[in-house]
Amino acid sequence: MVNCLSDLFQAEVEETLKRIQSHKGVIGTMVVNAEGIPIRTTLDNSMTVQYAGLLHQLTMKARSTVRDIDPQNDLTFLRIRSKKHEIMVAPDKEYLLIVIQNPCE
Amino acid sequence: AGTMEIVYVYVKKRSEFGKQCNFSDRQAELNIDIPPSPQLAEQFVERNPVDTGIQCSTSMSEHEANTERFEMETRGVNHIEGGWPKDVNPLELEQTIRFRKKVEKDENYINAITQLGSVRLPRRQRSGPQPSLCFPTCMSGPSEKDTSWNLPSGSRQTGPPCTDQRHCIKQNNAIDIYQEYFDDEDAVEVMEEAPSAKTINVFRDPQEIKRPATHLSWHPDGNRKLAVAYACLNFQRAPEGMSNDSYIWDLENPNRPEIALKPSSPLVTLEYNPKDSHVLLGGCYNGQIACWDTRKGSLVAELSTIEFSHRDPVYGTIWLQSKTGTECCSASTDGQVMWWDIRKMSEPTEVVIMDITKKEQLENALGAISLEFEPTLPTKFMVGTEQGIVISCNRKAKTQAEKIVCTFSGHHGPIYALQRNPFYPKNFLTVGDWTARIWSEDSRESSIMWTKYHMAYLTDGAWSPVRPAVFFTTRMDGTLDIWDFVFKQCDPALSLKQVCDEALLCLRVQDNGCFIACGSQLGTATLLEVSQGLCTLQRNEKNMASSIFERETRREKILEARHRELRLKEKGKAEGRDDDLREEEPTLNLEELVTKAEEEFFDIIFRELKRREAEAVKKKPKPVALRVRPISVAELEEGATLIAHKVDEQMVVLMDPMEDPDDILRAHRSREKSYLFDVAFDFTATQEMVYQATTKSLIEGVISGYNATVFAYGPTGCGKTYTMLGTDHEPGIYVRTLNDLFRAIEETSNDMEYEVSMSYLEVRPAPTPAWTRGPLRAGTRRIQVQIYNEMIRDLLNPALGYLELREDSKGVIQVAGITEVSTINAKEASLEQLAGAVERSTHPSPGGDGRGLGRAARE
Repeated sequence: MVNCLSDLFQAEVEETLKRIQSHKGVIGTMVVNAEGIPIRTTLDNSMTVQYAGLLHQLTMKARSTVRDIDPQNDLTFLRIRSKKHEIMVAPDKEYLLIVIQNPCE
Repeated sequence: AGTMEIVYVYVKKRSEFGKQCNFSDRQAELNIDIPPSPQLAEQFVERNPVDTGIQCSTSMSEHEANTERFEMETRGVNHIEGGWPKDVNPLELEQTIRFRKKVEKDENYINAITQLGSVRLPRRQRSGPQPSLCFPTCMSGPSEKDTSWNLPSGSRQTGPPCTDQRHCIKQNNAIDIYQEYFDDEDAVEVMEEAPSAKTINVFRDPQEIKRPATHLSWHPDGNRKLAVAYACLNFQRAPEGMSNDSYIWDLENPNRPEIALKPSSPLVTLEYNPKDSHVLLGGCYNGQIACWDTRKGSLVAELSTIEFSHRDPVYGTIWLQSKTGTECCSASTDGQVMWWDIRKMSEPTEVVIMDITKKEQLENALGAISLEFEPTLPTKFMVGTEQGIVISCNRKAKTQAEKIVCTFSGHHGPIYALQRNPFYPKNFLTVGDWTARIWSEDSRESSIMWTKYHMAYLTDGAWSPVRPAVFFTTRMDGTLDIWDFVFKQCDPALSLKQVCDEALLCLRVQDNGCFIACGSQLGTATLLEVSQGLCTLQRNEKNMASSIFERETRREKILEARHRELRLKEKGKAEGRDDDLREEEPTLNLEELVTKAEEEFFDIIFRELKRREAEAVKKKPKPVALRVRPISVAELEEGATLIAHKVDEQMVVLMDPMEDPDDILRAHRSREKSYLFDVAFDFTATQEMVYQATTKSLIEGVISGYNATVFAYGPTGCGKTYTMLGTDHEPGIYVRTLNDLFRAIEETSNDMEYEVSMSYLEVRPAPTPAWTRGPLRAGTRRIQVQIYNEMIRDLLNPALGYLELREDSKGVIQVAGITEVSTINAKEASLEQLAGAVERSTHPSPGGDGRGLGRAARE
């Protein structure tokens, strides 16, 4: 029963990630854990590792900034707009969901 | 350091010198011989090496100076993938995959991802355990886990969750926030800087004898070269040995001209061919036209024959727009304008004589000084003449007579420059005598705009090729003016006073409008650069310039029409008068004229006298009268004495009551104060006397229409009411005045109609502030304040309360709301009425304090 449930849930996860990836303009999606290890990714390894490491640190910094200013506050979302694309980071207690999208297409 | 010779000179007698030194030679003598002794050597030890200083110099100490040490190390950083738990080797693919799979199975993971990536959910409120997701209903069990959103307690989240990935992705796809929205609007730069110009370069005539620079021409391609023509224009005053050369300068090299052009006679004008930049056209002083090709050298390539050339110096040469690019046109003060083809310079292709009487008489022709030809209007050309007239001609007319279309006159002297506005060819600029004028082709009688008359003669002018409203002029005092009539019409926008010490003779603007070259009396060509604002087209400038032109043209047209009307009228009148004169002959009777003149004279005098009288009456000084009342019984009982004594008809003396007649010390000091009035009354004066002396004379004036005022002023109880109103037995001024007034009205009732109305009001001071109470000291000041504080009451209708004093539009002071009573005769304006009114107002108050000041005024 539990296995069945977890499979269901996993399917849900797959479904979500696939849906995100299929959106217009999305270049890559990845899931990074609290240590900065990429759990799931659609990009190649080198890019993934880079993104994972760097964005993890950045998210931590952003979160600490927000908390420093107002301890009652917390980081909910991080969007980095660059010339070429937009990196969106959805932070969680343990994981980060990172999406890279090219919005101008 | 300089050596100072120190010399010591002494004098010694030769005899004191002593014996002269004599040197002699002698053999060497051995004085001592010490052989080397080996025993001595044993006492010495050889030391090898020996460290000995061999330098013979100053000894110096050694110092070390060092900053604080900062240890630096260069290190490299070796990045390896980290974060992996200890048991997982990041390089091993299998292990990483296994790890990843494990994580994916983690519930937290599942929850988190689903949340982060799924469709927008309503924000949850933090209170107790949170239901995690909207899963299908088979959810149960450990779903109360705290997954994401570990929000601190107490905070409530409201508002839309924009933290959802998909939401953001969709957002990005929906709208591009960096899209340029206002691309098409040009960044309008507002030129705030003041117009300015600076001299870039100066090209001086290398010749010994300086000749004036008469004409300038820019190289058509790139404007990197400047051709300058030099000629002495004073008739037969060219000094001996003056060169005929004209030069082409390269802008980069002001020291030496690049090419010299050598004509046989000095060049008055010089023009580059706009189609072929190697070809130049020059007009000579002797009337010939010369043509150069710079590739061929300095000598003339083509020269027109003397017989068919002009008879006077050629002042204007222009290249024409033609397919071959070889046609040109020249104008001279001999009154002819000639067309040439440079391939065949032996004779002109066409000659037009500038005879405005259209009879083609060379003798009547006007000398041409400037020539204008606009490529966009190829059939028309304009000539500016020595006589100050601009002639507009049509080249394509069939007959010679028709070639001259119209003339514009307005200048007093030769027109040195003539140019059409590059943007609005219908308007052209002429420069001559002391003004520059702008004309419109439509208005023939006068220019539409002109500058003021300057102190110096204007020598040349040109429009700016980039800005329709800007033109330049040069003056005999070495000034270059830049005019911008959209900015300022009366004065130049910029006046460069010190371009040259000598007169500036010619001016040429480069095609980009930025550079201006001017030539001077001494052959110096100055190159100036104007500020950006003057050579960039401003916003709306074209429209503004054209509207200014149109407006001025319209104004001139209206004036012209008016003039024409007036002239027609004059003509008509002149003709009419002629007719009249012819019909009747007025007999010039001397006697009648004399009497008529006398009458007029006396009329004038009479009128003047009357006027003076009227003024005198108005200006009569207002007489001031003083009336002293008799001392009352109550006062006598108190022991008071009379203070004011009337000395004569006009003087009243006040005796200081404090004076002790026995006080010898003060006996001689005058304690009296004397006052002078126009008329003074004491207690012996009757009402009739007072009336006669003060008011009676005013009646006549009132009848005539003048205003009169009788003003009674004084402290309470001094007799104002008695004087003005009086009693039944002793009527006062009011009654007497009314009597006389009505009598006068009756006497003249046949001639005039009168309307009499009366008001009776009282002016009382309002409750005064404390400081005005007390004995009068600085009397005038307090009284003034009292006036401001006064309140006016209508005594015929006191129930109205206090009324306001106002001034009507004619300046007449009125009391708002006063009761006016019309009267026919004095009887009706009965005393009782007035007396009753007075009773109502006057309160017998203990006089003496400053508060009691009241006045009753009657107009």
